[in-house]
Amino acid sequence: MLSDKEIKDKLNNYSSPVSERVWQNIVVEQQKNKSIIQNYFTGARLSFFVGLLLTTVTLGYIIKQQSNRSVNLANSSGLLTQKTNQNITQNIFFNNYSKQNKELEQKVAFGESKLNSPLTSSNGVSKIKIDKNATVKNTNQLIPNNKFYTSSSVNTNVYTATESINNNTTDNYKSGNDSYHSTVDNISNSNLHSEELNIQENNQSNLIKGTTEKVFLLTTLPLAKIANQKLSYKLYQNTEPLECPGEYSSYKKNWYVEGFIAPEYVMKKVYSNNPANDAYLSKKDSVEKMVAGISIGAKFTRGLSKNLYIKGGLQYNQMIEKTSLMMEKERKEITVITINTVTDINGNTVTVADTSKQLQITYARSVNYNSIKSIELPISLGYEFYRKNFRASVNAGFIVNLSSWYSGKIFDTSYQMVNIKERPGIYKQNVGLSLYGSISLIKPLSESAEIFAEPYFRYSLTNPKYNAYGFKQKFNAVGLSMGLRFKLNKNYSSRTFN
Amino acid sequence: MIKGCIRQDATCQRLLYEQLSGKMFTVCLRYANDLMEAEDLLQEGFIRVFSNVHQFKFEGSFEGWVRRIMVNSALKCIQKKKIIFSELKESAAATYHYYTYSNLGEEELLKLISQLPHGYKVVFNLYVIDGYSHDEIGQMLQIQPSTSRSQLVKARKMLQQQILQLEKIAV
Repeated sequence: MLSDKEIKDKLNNYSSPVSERVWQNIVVEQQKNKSIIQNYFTGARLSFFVGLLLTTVTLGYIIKQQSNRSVNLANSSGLLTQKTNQNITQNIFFNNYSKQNKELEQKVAFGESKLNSPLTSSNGVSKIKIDKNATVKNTNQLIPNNKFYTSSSVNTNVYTATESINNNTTDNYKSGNDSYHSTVDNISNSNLHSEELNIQENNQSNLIKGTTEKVFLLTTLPLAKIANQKLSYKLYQNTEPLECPGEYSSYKKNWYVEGFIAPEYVMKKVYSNNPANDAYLSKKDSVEKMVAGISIGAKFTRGLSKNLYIKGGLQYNQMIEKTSLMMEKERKEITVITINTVTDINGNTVTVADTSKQLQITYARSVNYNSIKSIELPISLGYEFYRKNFRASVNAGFIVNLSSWYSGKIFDTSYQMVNIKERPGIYKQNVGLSLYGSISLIKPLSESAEIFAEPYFRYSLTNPKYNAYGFKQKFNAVGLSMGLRFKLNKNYSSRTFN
Repeated sequence: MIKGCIRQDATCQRLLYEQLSGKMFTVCLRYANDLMEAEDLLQEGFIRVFSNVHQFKFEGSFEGWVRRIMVNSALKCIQKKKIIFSELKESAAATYHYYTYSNLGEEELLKLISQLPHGYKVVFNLYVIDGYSHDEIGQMLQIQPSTSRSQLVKARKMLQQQILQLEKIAV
């Protein structure tokens, strides 16, 4: 008799044989069912984007720091504010304005003025040009004269500058990136012969507007002694040091772009945590052999400090794998007839034919070349050393594998060579991460071009592809990157001694 | 292995599949009409297992959890087919609890169960093998518990007849 319980016991633990295609379908369906976001933002890829975001923020901060080199003088404390790009905004508060022939004391107080051209000087005349829209506030008491002028309505935080003026005429007022520092120097060194001030006074609005060629002649602006300590501090803090040949003052502005090609020797590591795969892996190891690899790409390099550089770019990597498997091609049964001549005691000769059968197996070696292609994002930090006409740097970073794809034939668990396209789900295009270390040897060719050679090693941290058979593989490589590097900012001096 | 599956580790998923696929395929075979349908159910069930494995709270048997997912997948498929469960009188129930032929192998038994009409088969599987009560079956299949009972009676009766026929052939 068979009870419900017996039926339950029998069927509950009974294991039915399952077709292999079910698992293959599961793998394929799993890939399809994952949403685009899930597929895309895997752990490693998410890490990459966080890293990329941080890198972007860092670079943005560095670039912002570069752009802040213009001098800002806080008008709230009566300081001279000047931005030395195309549009210059300057707030100068004048309190007193006076001039003497050789030693001049100038006390000037401006309410507010906007300038769109840098300070200029010629023939010992320093000028501040004011454009059509320039306005000057609270300057109705400002009268250009060789006497003291005192404003009764000026800001209490006044800028006062007193200095002896040297007999030095200068024409070398710098514009653009030159900071107020140089302007101040030039002004302070200027020799005042005359001054002009053409300001239209607006009595109603208490504003003075400069006309097209309305020029402040601040030729007697001696600024060596700056009364306001804050101003002095700000001036020097924001001042770009003058560039001298052979110095590295502009290291932070150095931008390079480099193109490279890198032959690689690739080492493949296949491993599994499951001892059941040992025999298969051993055979697989004898069948598959890495031949070579190559990377081609471009990188941008940016100075972070005197010796520190950050590099980032994009590269295409291709590794070639050779598979060689001896496969049975033909099996034949051959009948072999051996004829022997036997002589008996009586001297009779007898011919004896022995028939035997032999199995003849023909093998053929199947050779295939597989390609493992990747798009990668190399990011590294470099520390440079200098010698005359030569530089070297030590670099370390990581390479993010953005995407990879595999083509060719693989050694299957059935011990046959199988086209990868026929086995969907075996390899997955996913993100991998490798550590990267290199030494760059750089030789300048000209002011803006350099040639370099960079031996490197990359160590794979994550498996760029996973295998449904339960084993993993990693690709480590040593290579030599060679290429040309071009400086993007030609206005700045080279980091090498010439 | 389960934690590996939670991490969506393909190796662990494969290991889990290898460990449970046979038993789960038996479950699917019990509910499916044919082999192809059983494979589809197994495939769908494992996809659900892999995508929901993080919800497993490590309380009780993992195999039982997977089995429930398989059964639910099968029931979902059944609900799509809109099987009509006919009701039988309560008095007819209690008769058939035992089947005469006890030397039946698992495969034969599976074959006999799969030959039952679909409604009978589902109730029989749920009650006898998977251990659900009639109330639970009623909720799962959105039928009355009495309908479930009647279906079970019919299923038992038919199964007994089939076993008897098999016995005659064997003799």
